[in-house]
Amino acid sequence: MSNIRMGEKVTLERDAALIAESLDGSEKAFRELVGHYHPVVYSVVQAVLRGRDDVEDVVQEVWIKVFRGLSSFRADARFSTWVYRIARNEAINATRRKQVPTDSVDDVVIRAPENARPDRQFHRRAEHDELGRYIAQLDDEYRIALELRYMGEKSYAEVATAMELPAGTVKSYIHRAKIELKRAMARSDFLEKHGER
Amino acid sequence: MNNEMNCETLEELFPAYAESDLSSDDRARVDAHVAECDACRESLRFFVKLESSLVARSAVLPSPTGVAAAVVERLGLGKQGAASRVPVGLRSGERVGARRESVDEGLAAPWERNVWRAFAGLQREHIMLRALIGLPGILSVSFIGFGAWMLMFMRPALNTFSWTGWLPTAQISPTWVQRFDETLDSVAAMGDTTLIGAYLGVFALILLMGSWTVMRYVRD
Repeated sequence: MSNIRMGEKVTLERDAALIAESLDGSEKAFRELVGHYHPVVYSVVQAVLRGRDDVEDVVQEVWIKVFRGLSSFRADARFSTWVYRIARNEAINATRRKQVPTDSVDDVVIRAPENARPDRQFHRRAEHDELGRYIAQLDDEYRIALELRYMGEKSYAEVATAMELPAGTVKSYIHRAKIELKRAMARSDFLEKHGER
Repeated sequence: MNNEMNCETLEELFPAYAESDLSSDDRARVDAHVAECDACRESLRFFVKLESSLVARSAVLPSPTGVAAAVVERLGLGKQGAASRVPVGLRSGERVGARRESVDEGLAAPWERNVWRAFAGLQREHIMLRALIGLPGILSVSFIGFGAWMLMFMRPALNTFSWTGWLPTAQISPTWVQRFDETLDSVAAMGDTTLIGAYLGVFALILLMGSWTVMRYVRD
């Protein structure tokens, strides 16, 4: 443990305590564990499933698998890395179980409901949806790194820990992801539609 | 050509610029360039907008409350105290993997869960240690079985049994055959108490070795 910084050490100790209490049947401890790592799990599942509508179902399955495997988790390992692996594997299994064709960005037109006002919330949702569809077209590793960083609100170091990659590699993936997004969205009117208001 | 190369080179800095992750020198280079290049200014504007849209994606993340509630419901956590559940122990001959779910759901008493975790962890990750624990078990059973057979059936015959009639003496040194014969005679001459004590002593040593390995991985 000599090379783990104090912050990480505190996290490891907190996680070890929550895991032990969860295994003893504490609902409160398990909810807290879910709360801490929900962004990692959700963003990884979202990234792998490319925004499919069964993301929440798969997230639940991930947490059930996590709980059932808690007894075999070594307290000196990083929980984020372990949870990331389970989330990614479960999401990949879900894509194999249910092959759902993802829409090409070009085929989808986001239309406003006829009786809705073009208010700010609608535009924000439309922007999220459109960006999500472009992100779904990225390579797997770029997409997962990007979603962990932004949707999961993780630092580069935290993303690197979860994905078991050097921080420099994660930074490079996210950089390339943004360049790819620029190329893919070059022909769209993303800026015109969703620019500053 | 030079200008195009400059645009291409500088565009690589735009994502970091939008993230406010550039050195002051590089930031100044970008500022100076986009002041003169319309295409790059538009490109930088895109990356700034992309950055703010990506940051806003965290708002898409649903609250964990609903997920936690659904999972807790499915697992039945907190509905009954651990002590009120029927304790589930390790049943001989049962595969570790088959029992893991019910034990992990809090049915077992704490000491049983600890032993279970040790075996569950060993099954998944420490194949060599499983072999180490299993080997003393196999050895001790074999030892006891062999010893019992020797005591009950072979001892009376050991005094008269000679290997020299069995073994092809041309291939094996007569000295070793004789030594083996003498060893068997010594064993036959041992008292019952001594012989039983010796076997039990070896068995206890093997059992201790296996138990120490298991306890090493039992978590409190």
